Amino acid sequence: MGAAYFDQFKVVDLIAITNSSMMMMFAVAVALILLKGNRLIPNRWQAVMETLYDHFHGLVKDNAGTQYFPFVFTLFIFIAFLNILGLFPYVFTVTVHVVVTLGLSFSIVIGVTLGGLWKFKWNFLSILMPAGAPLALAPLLVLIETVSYISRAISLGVRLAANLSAGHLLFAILAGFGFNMLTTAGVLNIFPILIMVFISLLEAAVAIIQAYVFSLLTTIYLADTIVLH
Amino acid sequence: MPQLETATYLTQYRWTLIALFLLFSFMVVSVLPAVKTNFLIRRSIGAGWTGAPKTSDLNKGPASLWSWDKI
Repeated sequence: MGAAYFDQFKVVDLIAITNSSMMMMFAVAVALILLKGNRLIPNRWQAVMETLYDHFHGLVKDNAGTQYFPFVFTLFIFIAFLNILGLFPYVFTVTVHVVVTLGLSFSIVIGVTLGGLWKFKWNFLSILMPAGAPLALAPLLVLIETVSYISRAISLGVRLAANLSAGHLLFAILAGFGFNMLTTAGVLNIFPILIMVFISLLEAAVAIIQAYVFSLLTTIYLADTIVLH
Repeated sequence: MPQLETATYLTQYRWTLIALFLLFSFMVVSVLPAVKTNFLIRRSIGAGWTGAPKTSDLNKGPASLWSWDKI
């Protein structure tokens, strides 16, 4: 019984490729179709996309350098579209799998480390020692900062996967509960439906917010390759 | 939990990289330059503004458009 709720996360082999990879390709295709637009006077959808572009451009310029803008924007679009498309019934959500999110976050943190070492050489290790702290505390501080630097990668990936997994489990459980209550007639059966509507709205918000948080934190981490602490 | 099935890890990671790289290349080649060019055209129309780019800026390649720091 308990395992049935997890069946929605199962990776199965469809036509030649798995549902996971099919969903990723679908998200890329949908994103590219929706991002297409070069009207001088934008229509509604293009206005949304240009607002996103403008916002992320400002964000990346303020925190890191503009050379990271294409990557951060692509990351946001990719995760946001995967999350949103995963909300539809009978589709697979790629980002509930920890390997996808942890794979992305570890790649990013390793990339930041390599980029920082490339630019600042051994001075990059000053990230492990906060400025102005007494030297006597150094053995302790370096240890703590090392742990916090490594846990960046874990927290970045687990946050996304856990949020999405929890949301989709909540969907499955509440939908089953609501359907049971619907079939047994009564006035009260409006409540599970109302709760489902509310949860759907909440999950749509979570899908965008988590994608935004992921790309925002990526931007902040990428700033370490630009400015030395 | 299907999330912990290690047999699917390598293929999922590989496909994540493929999809992200595909999206990134399309964005860099076609989507982002189009949006940026639109911004520049709109700004060049707003006359009398000191920061407005010259029309010659519109012919620059995508890479130089991004590194252009004004917008």
